[in-house]
Amino acid sequence: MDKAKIKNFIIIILLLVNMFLLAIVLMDINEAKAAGKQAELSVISILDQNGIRLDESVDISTDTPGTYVLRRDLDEEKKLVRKILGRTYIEDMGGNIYYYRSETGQASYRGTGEFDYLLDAGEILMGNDAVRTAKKILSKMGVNPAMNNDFVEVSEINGSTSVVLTCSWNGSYVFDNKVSFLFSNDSLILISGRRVFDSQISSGDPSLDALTILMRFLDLVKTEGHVSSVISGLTPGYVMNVTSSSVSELMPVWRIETDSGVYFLDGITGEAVANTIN
Amino acid sequence: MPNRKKLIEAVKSLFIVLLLISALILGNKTDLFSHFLSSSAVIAGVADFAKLIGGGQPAPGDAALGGDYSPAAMPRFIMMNSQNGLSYCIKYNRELLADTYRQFSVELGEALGSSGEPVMVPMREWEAALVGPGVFFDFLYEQPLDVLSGWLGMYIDSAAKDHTARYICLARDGDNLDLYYIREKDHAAYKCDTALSYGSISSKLESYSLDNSSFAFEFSEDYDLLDPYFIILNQLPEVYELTAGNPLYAGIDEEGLLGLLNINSIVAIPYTEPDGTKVYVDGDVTLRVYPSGIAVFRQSGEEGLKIGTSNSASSSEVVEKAYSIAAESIGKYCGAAEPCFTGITYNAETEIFTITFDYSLNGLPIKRTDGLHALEMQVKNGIVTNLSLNYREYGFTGSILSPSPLPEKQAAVLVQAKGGGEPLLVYEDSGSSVSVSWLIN
Repeated sequence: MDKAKIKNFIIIILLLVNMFLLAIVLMDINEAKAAGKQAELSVISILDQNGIRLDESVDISTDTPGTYVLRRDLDEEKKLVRKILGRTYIEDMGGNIYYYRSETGQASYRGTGEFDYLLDAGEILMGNDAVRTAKKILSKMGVNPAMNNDFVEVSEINGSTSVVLTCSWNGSYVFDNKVSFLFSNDSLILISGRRVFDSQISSGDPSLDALTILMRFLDLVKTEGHVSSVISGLTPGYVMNVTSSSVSELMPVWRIETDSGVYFLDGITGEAVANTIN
Repeated sequence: MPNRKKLIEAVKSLFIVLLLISALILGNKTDLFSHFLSSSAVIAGVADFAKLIGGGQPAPGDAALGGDYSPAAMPRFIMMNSQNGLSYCIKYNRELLADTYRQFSVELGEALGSSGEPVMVPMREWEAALVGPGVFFDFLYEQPLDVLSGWLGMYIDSAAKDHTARYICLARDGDNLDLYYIREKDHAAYKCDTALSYGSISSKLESYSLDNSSFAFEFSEDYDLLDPYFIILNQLPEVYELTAGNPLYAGIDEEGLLGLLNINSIVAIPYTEPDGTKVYVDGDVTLRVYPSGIAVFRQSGEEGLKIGTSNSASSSEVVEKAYSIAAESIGKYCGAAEPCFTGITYNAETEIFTITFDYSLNGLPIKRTDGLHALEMQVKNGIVTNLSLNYREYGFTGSILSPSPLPEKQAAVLVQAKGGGEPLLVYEDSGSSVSVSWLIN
């Protein structure tokens, strides 16, 4: 048999094998979808039997967050500061603390992710919408603000407007990273908060999925005696642990909103996280 | 024409390769061929590559999550003072100590790293800092500040880098946070400005809103002979019973130990002495592993176990080397205990560093009644000349010690009556059993 015919034969065999494997893969996907749907219905039924209704708006097919380790990148940080302050003079205070000064204001950044800006009046105007301005500034600082207004707090005190935004990372909320903006006389004068670090250095396995978390929540309700009758929100996200200066871990958590309050469950263990996040 | 044929054959070859890769990816998704794929290293490697392209799980070992500070640098007692004047101290609980230290270790590192030049201050200012809002760390043994800051990922620029301290305090000074410590050499109190504000720890301090302790000096004359910085708890936590044993009975990784000590295991063939001691000789280096659980290393030449590449080593390098040896030798066999850094001295005449590590369990030091350290090492000109390792394995029986040790106030009264000193609650290992007692440090 010459080479050309052998190759033709191999191609036909491989095509058949690929078609066979593709058929199996598609069957597996369908079976998994059906099993997933069945599991969802089972969980909803179990919750119902225990007096807890899952609101229709709750998305239980949402992706599960993983665990990430992030490191501060000083070069990136300097670029971001320049976007707000312009050309800056940088002072290394030691202890991984940097002060940035310019003609328009000053900022300090720590190895814990915490930062502060003190801006000269008139440099950044509030405009008609303080929240919109705050979100725009936050994006400029390389911090993604939370996508919807559930995690936005606005208050007025003595003619000053305060906006607090929850940060997000890779499309998920970082519930304990908040940034405050203080506007006085229509001018932004103070920004303070904590940011997620710049470079990802490693990642871990995905955490517990939504259905498992709901069952863990049911255990929590039973053991701790909470009275909840409706789950109106189920949001995956992160909390940030600074493990050492300039290195942090994003740990997955699930935020469960009910008629009796908001609960946070650890995305790896399923246990309740101390509610100091929100 | 021949060129066209060649092109067609080349495309067919490429198509075959693509179909093969596609089959591997699809096969991985179905798990049909998982056994076959894993049976050959080459195929397994290609399969892992296929997994990555197919978006499957990362290969084992890909995920290495962020680390923790070194346990050799952990304080034994931590006291938090809130603005309300409440003092909460954690003692004798390793897990709580570790959690609490984790909360403040970054700020301690930042304070050390951003510390200005140390200024000697009166003792009354130091004591005011201890009882004011802030956090106090007692490491029980002197810590070289440059080593401690290195463990916290920082570098000290000021003269404080040459100081050692057992007691360190982060204390409020208006809106700022100052660093205080007692320097071992002259037993004087020093203060350094830092770049931190009090706000960096204030919210954490307010979460410790319990009052359970006081310093001995706060009782004025009642305990005037006691170590003034002995912290008296209102109530002693539970202390657990321990077992102790010689892990050499079950065997240790001797080849690993030889590698750790830079002894060539092929050249250094062991011989066993009548008492069961195993002896390894490699040129100028001798390692004796006694059946009692002690391993003694001696080096008389200039090759062998070195620290770094130069002919000298700093105290930080010596401590780091000792810690890595402890972690990879006795640290692997000590059960529930852990080896902790307990001291470093330098003899300027002989140019020898002597460094010690001892076992600790649940925040309590373990003292051998024969005085042996868990690790004792001597270094001269960057070369480890002597090293002794004391292998011991400790475990919990599951029972709380009964009767429980004297409460701290009573221990303080007894020590005061005996002429003073620092009461120290320790586990005492006699070799055959472990008991708990109050020693005068």
